Amino acid sequence: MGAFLKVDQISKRFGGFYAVNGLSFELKQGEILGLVGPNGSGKTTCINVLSGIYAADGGTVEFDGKMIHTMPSYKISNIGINRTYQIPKCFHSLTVKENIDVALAHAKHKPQVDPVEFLELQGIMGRNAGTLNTAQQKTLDLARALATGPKLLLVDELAAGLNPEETESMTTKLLHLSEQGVSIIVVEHLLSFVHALTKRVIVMNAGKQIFEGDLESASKDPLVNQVYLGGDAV
Amino acid sequence: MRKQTTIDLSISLVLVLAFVALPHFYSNLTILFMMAMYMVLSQGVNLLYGLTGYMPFGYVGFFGAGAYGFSIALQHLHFPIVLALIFGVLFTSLVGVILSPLLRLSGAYFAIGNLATSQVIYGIVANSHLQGITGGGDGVDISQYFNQTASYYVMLAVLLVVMVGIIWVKRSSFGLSLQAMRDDSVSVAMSGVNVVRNRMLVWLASAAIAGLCGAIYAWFISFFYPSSVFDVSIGIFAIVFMLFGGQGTIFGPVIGTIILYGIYNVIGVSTPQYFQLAYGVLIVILVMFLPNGVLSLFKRGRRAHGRVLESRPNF
Repeated sequence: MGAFLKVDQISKRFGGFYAVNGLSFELKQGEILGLVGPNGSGKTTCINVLSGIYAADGGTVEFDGKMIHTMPSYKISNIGINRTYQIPKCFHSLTVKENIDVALAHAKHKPQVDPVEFLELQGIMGRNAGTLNTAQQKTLDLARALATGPKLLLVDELAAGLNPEETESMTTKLLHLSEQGVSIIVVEHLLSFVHALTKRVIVMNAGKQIFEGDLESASKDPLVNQVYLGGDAV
Repeated sequence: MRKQTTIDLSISLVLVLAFVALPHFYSNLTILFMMAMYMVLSQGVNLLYGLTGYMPFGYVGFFGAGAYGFSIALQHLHFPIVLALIFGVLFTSLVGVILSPLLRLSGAYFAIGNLATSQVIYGIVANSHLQGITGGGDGVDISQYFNQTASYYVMLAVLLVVMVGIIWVKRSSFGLSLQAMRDDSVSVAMSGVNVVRNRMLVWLASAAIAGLCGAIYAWFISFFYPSSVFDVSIGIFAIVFMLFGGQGTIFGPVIGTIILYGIYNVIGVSTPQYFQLAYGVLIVILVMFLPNGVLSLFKRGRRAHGRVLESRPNF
């Protein structure tokens, strides 16, 4: 199976600082990729570029045969890419149901799953999103993303703030989506969560890829150890 | 939802019919006209601020542009009244398009920028070099078209159309996407909403409402100076009435206008020296105890009831 997503030499600069610098990778349909690295390594910026929130300063992104690196966010959502956020970004003054309705009303693809049932939101549909706790708001972000029927899901630190039981449940759900053909990029600090989801990770540092492979090999890689632990390579 | 829409439409119809009947019982048509006009203007502000969060402190700029567009169409293009009203709206929409880069700003920056641009339009219109077109500082005289009764009923028709429009927007997925845009413009775009296009649509619709009000107002008074149709207090009144009643609600601007414009006329006539004081006290009370307007009193009751009925979250 060929590449579903082809990221080629993308870069994003803020003034003189390169948050992402010449990053390239490919992703197959239904594949899960972990994007890990220390704080400030450019993981979220990469997700922001892929979702059209930032325009790339260089490089190209091809998704499902279309060049998307100059598309605005709403078009990127329409062609089948969606995401969650490190800091939840739900519509605070609207109810959970209305939050999901906004996405359903503009969806161009049939959702692979019913987001309400899939994420077990039935009990809080009438609550204002602003009254939810952080974990619930993150789940709502995921529900809105799933309502648009994404073919590629970008998950930004979804496990942060979840208890072990909730993390395990979320792992099962993401694996189910992957089986349905949804490609997933997981940005995460919780490495056990990444490990349960995929064997393929890219480790980033200072905007660049420093390792690609499975998580166990990454933990033995001298450069990865250096950027995570500091000091000399182990 | 459908039942609530029927109720809202019925209340709107009763409101307009009441204003149709009122001149038979109350002879001061100017006060009735102004009250209906402020209801429409407050709904225009409500559309922009209540649903998208842009505070148009210079809303009067569109009002004045509509008044002058209408007058120019009558005086120089010799259009009939209806076409002149349409011309006034189109002219205001054009001004809206020209000022649309303001939408790149947000919060206080947008409010101040909007206020400044309204004063720029005022300055252009009042400029003596444009005396041949706008009348400059001498104002506009279209008294040959003076017809207060007709202009009053046209304003009521506009009020009905605007009320129906607001009800539709509030109940539609478009309205929902506007409220979502106000909360978070980044994640609403990821939900597939074209934020730039929607903002522009609302901005132009709001401008057109103010322009139409200005045009009908010009027809109603038929003689005016630039300072009377670009008076900042017109826009501020519309904002305060909307906030007092309840931003983002269907009937908040109507309730706010009836209460505050009513008080304005009662106190302003009997004891004008206390008017500013009474208004100031009311606004302080509003900000301190009812920041979401009078209608939030009813919402609070409903929400408290709803909280009991809600089941607990399951995670």
